[in-house]
Amino acid sequence: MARMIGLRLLKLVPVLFLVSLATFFIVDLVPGDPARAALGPDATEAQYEAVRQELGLDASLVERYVDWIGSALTGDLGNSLIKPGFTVTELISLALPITLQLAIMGMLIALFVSLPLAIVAAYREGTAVDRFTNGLTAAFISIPGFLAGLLLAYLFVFQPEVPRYAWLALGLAVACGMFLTAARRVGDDLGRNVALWILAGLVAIGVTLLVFANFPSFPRTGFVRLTSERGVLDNLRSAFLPALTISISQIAVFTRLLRSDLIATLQEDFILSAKAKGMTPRHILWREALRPSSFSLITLAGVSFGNAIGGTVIVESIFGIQGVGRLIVNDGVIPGDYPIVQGGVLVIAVFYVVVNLLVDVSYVYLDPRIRRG
Amino acid sequence: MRLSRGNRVVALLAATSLVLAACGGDDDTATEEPTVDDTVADDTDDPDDTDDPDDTDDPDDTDDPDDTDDPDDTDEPDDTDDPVDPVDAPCDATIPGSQIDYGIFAPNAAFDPVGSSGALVGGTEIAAVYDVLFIFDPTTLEVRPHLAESLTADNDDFTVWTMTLREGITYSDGTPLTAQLVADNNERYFADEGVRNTSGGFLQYIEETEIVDDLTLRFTLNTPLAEFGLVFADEPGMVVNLDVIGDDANELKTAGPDVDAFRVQPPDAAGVGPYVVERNVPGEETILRARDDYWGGPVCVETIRFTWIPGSAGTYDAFRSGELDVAFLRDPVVNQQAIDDGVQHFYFPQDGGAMINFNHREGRATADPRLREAIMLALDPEIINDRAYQGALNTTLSYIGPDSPYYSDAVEERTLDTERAAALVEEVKADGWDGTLNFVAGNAPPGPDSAIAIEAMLGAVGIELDTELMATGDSIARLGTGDFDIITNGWNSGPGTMVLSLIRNLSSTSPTNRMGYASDAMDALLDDALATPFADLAPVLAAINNQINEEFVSPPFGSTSEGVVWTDDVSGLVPTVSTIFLFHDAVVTN
Repeated sequence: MARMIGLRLLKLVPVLFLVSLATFFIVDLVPGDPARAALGPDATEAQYEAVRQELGLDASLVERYVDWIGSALTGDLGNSLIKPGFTVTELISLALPITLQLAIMGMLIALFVSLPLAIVAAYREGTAVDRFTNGLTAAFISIPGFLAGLLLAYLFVFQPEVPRYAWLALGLAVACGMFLTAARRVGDDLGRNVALWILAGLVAIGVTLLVFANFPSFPRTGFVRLTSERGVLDNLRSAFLPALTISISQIAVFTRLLRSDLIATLQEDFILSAKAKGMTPRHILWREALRPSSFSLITLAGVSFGNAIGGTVIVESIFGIQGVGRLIVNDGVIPGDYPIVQGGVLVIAVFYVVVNLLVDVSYVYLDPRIRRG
Repeated sequence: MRLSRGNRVVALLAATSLVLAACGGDDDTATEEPTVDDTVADDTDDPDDTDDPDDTDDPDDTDDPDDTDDPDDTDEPDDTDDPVDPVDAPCDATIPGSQIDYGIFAPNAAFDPVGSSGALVGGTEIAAVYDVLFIFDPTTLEVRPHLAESLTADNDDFTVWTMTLREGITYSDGTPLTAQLVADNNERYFADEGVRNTSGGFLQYIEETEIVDDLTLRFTLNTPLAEFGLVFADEPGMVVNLDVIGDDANELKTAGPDVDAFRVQPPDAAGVGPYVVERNVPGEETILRARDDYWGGPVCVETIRFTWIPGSAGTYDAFRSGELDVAFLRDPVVNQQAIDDGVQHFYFPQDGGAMINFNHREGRATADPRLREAIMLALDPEIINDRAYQGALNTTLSYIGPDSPYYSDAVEERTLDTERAAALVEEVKADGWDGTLNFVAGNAPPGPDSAIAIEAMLGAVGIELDTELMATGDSIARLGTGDFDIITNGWNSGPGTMVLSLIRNLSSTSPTNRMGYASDAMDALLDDALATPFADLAPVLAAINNQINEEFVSPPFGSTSEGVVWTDDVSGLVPTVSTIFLFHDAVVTN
C-alpha cells in the first residue's frame, strides 16, 4: 500500500511539471495585458510600457517560465501582477476553501439524492418508478450548468414561493404514498409494519410542514465563509444554490451509473442465494448489492470531485463567488495575470491527482480481492 | 400493538415534527422579495422609528420630491435634479449593527489614491478611507471645501491659488493634516516619472507649490485653471498619512513590503475619512468600519460592505432581491429599468458615452475629412439604439447631449444625409481608396450589435467594414497603438470630468490623444475651457462641440449614464466628482 502511494506521489512530479508548462504557454496565447489591467484605460503608452518592464513582462516567455518555476520549486508561487501586495498563495488560500466547500457539498447532495433513486430504480427495473427516474435523470443531464444555475437563482431567489409550494406538494405526495402503502398492507402484513408506514407518513408531513413554514431565503450572490461571525446557517444558505447547481448533472450521472451496476449485481448468484435465505429486500439492496456495485460510482465521484474543483467557474460567476475558478479566469486569464493562472492550475492539478489516489486506495478497502491480492 | 425502540423513536419524531410545524408561523418576511414599497410600509408600522428624520412617513418629508412613496415620482423618468437626501444631523453616534451593502462596478485591489485605476474602480472605497479636500456637487456644478477650509484665486487669470486646510484635523496616530503633507502627497503622483499617475488629472498644471504655513499652500499653475478645486475633489484630494507607509513613501511604484501592505489594507491611521478598512479581499468583499473619531462627527452606519457582481444586470438583480442597499449601475438598459421601477437613483450623465473614434493619422483612410464626414452623415443613432440598446440609449447627434448640465441652444447637431454620404464615398473611391475600413469593436454587449448596425449603415453608403470584435482591454490596446481606422470608444465625460476628458482625447499635446487628432482651433478652445468657471462653461463647450462637428473629429451617437440606485432605507449619500459617493452623512434605517 505504502509503495503504491509512494509511486503515485512520484508520478505527481512529471504531471505537475507538464501541467505548469502547458498552462504557461497556453496562457501566453490568450489576449490580455496585465499593464493595461493594472493602469486602466487612461494611461499613456509610455506608462504601460514602463509597467510592463516593472512587471518583467518584457522578458522572453522561456525566461519568464524558468523564473517562475524556479520560485515555485521553493514554494513561492509569486505575486499577482495586478493586485499589488497579494501573493498568489494568499489569493489561492482565500479562494480554495470556498471552492472546496462548494464541491464537497455538491458531491454530498448528488450522492444523497442519487443513491436512493438508483436503488429504487434498479429494484423496480422496468416499472413506472424506473421510467420516471430515467426521464428525470435524462432531463438533469441535458441541462447545461449555467442554465441550471440561472434557473435555480430565478426560482429560489426571485420566485421563492414556487420551490416552497413544490416542496409542500412533494412532501405531501411522499406522505400520501406512505399512507397508501400502509393501506395496502392492512390484512396481509404484520400490524407493526402498517404502523411504521403510518408513522413514517406522519414524520414526512411534519417535516414537510416544518420546512414549508420556515422555508429559507437564499442569496442571489455572494458567499458567507464558514469562519464568518454570521454563522454556519448563513454559510449553508449562501452555499446551497451553487452546490445544488454543481450537483444536478452529477445526480443524473451517478443515478444512471449506479442503477445499471445494481441491476447487473442483482442478477448475481449470491443475490439469489440471499433471497433464498429469506433476507429482506432492504438488506439485500443496501448490505449485499450496493457495495460491489459502487466501484464505478466511486471512481466517477472522484473524477467529478476533481472536475468540480477546477470547473466551478461558471457556478462561481453566476452566484458571484470568489472561488478558485473565478480567480483563475477573471483575475488570471482575462487580464493576463499569469502567476495566478499558474498557481491556481497547479493547485487544482494536485487536488485532482490526490483525489484519484484516494479513490484507488478506497478500492483496497471495498474489494476483498484487491486487499488480499 | 407494541412498538420497538426504533419505531418509538420514529413516533416521537413524528409527534415533534407535527407540533413544531403547527407552532411555526408562516414567516413571509423570509421569502418575500423586499421592495421599495415594502420597506416604506415597514417604516410606517414601526412606532420606534417616528423620531427618525429619514423615515418616509415623517410629515416633514412629504415635500421631498425624491420620496418614492410619492405616486407622482414613480413615473418620473429622471430624478437626477435632487435625488440625494441631505441629512443635517444624521445621528448622535454610530448605530451598532447598521450596514450598507454596496454593489460596486469592479473590485478594488489597492487602497492608494496614487495608481488607482480610475474612479470606477475603488474611488468610492478609497474616498471613504481618506476623505477629500473638496466636494464637487454635480447638480450645482459647485466645488465646496470639505477637509480644506477654503481655496481662493489670487489673480484674475486663475494661475495662482491659495488653499487653507481646516485646523485641528489629525490622523488617529496624532499626525496632523498639514500643508506639507498635501504637497508631499502630490509629489507621489510624479514618482518614478509618473509611471502610475493615471489619477492625478490636473496636477500636471501645478508648476510650483509653496508652503505658506502649516495649514496654507500656494499653488502657481502653468496654465489658467478656473476650477482648480476640482483637482482636490478627486484622488489628489485624498491625503495619505505618509508616516504609515515608511521610507518608501515616495517610491510607491517600487513594491516594497511596507507599501504593499499599506495598499492591501491601510492601517487606521492612513486616512482621516469616516471609515477604516476592516477586510479587503478583492473579488469577494471589502468591509469598511466606521471610525469613532471622525473629524466631522459621528458616522452613523457602522459598516459598509462592498461586493462585486459582474455586470449591471446582475448587480441590479441582487439589489432587487434585497441583497444590496446601494448598487452601482452603468448599463443604459439596466439604468432605464431602475428608473421605470421607480427606484431612487442618482445618475451622472456621461456625454460621449457611446461613440466611435476616427483614426486621424496620416496614411489612414480616415485621415481624409471627406470620408469622416461621410461616416458622420450616415450614422443614425436611432438605428444603433434599436439594434443594440433596446431603445434605452439616450441618443444624440451632438457631443454635448440634452441631458448634460452644459447643454445650451448653441450646441449644434450633426446632420444625417445618406445621399451626400454616398457621394462623398464615391469621391474618395475615385481618388484611389479601396472602399474598406478596419473597424474595431467590443465583443461584449452591446458591442457586437452596435457593430452590425454600423456595418449596415456604412454599407448602405458604399463603405465596407473589416470588423474585429475583441475584449475591452484589447480594443483599448488597439486604440493605444493606433492600429485601427474606426473604433468604438466612449469618452464618458461626466459633469466634473468634462474638460479633463476633452483635453485627454482632443488636445494635440495630450499623451492619451489616441486618435492622432490635432487642431490649433481646438487647442485654443480647450485652453478657454480650462480658464472658464463651470458656471460659464456652456458656451465654450458648445463651441468645442461644434468644432467636433466641423472637423468631423468623431461622431457620438448617444450619451450614457452611470451612478447608483438605493433603497428607501438609505439616505445621505453624497455624490461628488467621477461618480464617487461619500458616506460621512449616510444613514441606513433598517
